[in-house]
Amino acid sequence: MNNYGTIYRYELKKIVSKKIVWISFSLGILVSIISVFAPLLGNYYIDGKFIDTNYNIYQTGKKYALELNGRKIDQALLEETIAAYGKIPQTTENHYTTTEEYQKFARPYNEVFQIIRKTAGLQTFEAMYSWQPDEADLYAKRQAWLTSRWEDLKLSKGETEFWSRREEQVKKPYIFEEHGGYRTVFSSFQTVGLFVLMLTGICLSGIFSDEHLRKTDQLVLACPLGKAKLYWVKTAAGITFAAGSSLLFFAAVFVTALCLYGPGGFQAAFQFIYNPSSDPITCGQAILIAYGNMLIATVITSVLMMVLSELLKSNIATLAILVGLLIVPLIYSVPAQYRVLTQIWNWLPWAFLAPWNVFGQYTLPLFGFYLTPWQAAPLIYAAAGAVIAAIGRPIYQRFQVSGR
Amino acid sequence: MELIIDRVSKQYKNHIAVDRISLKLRKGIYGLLGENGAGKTTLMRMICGILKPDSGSISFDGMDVSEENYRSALGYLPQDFGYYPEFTGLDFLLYMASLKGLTKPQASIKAAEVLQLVSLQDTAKKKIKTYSGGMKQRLGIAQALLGSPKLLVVDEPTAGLDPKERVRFRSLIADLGKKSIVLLSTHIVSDIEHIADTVLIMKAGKLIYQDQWTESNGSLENFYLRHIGEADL
Repeated sequence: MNNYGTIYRYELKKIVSKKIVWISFSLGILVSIISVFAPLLGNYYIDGKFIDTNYNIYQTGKKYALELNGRKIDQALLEETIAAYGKIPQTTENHYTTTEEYQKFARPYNEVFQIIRKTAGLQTFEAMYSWQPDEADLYAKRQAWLTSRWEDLKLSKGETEFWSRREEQVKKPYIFEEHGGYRTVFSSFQTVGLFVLMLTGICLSGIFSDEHLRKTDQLVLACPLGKAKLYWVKTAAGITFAAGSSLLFFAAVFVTALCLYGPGGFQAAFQFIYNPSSDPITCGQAILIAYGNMLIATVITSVLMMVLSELLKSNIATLAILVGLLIVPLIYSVPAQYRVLTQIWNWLPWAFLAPWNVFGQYTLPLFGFYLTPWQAAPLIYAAAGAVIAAIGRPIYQRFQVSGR
Repeated sequence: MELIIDRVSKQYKNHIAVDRISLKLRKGIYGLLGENGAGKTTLMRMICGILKPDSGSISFDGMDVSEENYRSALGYLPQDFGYYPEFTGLDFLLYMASLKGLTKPQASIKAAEVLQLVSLQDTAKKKIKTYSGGMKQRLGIAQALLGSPKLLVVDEPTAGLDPKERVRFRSLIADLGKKSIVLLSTHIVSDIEHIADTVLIMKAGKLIYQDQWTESNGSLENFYLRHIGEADL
């Protein structure tokens, strides 16, 4: 068994010693980090008039948010917030944020105000002004909005009951906690995931095909461990690389976001950053779950890439397929009325990078239980990955060196 | 120690590359001569288990060519092969040694040994992409010798070697032939003239000559040309 470790290390070395790996890796990390701090760059203008720098706006917002830390979004806070916003002159001529009243009275409550608007579905100012602050009504409005959404999504009766039970477990009234860092990480997930999958494709599309293109296949296949065993070791090395890449990308974004926007918010209700969810989890838990799912989506995609690399014996063709797989879900979606198709489409690993699919409402019924997307997808991906890898083994093992 | 090739054939569409070849090879050096396209490489690939015959069987000491144990006894230098350019010569040998099932300490000892044999010990830690063609060929020979193979199959091994290296290689093969089966394919008659115990000649996929060869038989080159029908050219 000792030499398996040696083979594994050399297989990893083959992957990481390519220049393209380092170039694409560095670029990917750089762009991911830039996407985290880019919102703080530049200035904020209204009708061409300079208001403030984005950084200052963020800092002020954060200062006010921290002052609200630990407060329940209950009747008292609702009344304070609505009263503060009620002081803004009801004019349509100027943007309300430019008014002195907003800056003086309402801005300290901005974070809570946004949560109230989303929770109660109060989209317009008119709706906001006409709403009487009422804690019970706020959460009742949320329940009504969720029920209507579940109908639109064509959820079954069982699923609706399941999500209602989950919603009951969401702690209310919400307790406010500043969560800018976690919100940024959450909104970066799809971008980071796409980079990771693209990097995986670039780096692993040649893992098997390079052996054929370089004509090293005849050397390794003539070795005692060069057939079945090498296939599994290569696959393990590819998976390690894919998993390691996703961890590094995630860590880069996570650390950057928490350094820039603050580490607070781990315990904040997940609904603050993704309102449609009825998962009774915190922002911190949601980020870890989303990362876990991204990790396993990356692993299954890497396995698929490696098998395609052996099947097609071409890096370019393998990469072209990956690009297609990544782009298509960004362009097309399946209408909700085709429930099963929508669910399959949303649960494809490359579509599952989007957090709204990870924390979506479609479930997998299993022996009387309902598995949420983030519970079901890892199981499905693990099984599918094992099947795909097993399909690749005979393709590699039966390869015949001929016609050169 | 016996390699048995029993009525082995290989066909590519309408072209018969190897046509019902049967051979029994025992310890010694076998020089396989033939023109380009005679089927030498196809036969060697089948002997090495990287190309499946359409019919017939190949076994070494009772082990079928498809078995892992068979490949444990095998050393193979293909005619045209590649490297991992970012690996050093030593990395490459240690990697190949691990694929041959050698443990880490065994691999280190064997790698040092074969590097010495092919005079690459001073450049072992340089990346292969900096090697000359001759150095790469010597590295290929070195990897074939890892694990002390009982069956050594070398396809056009002297390609890219300078005259001095060729002489050195022949002497190396002559030594190996004392304890292993060495099958050496070439179209350069002088490569095997003085070292092969047995000469095999292939033409159009068939084995047209198989016998022991001694210097008293005369010029192998003339003999070979006569057999492949080019003596009148």
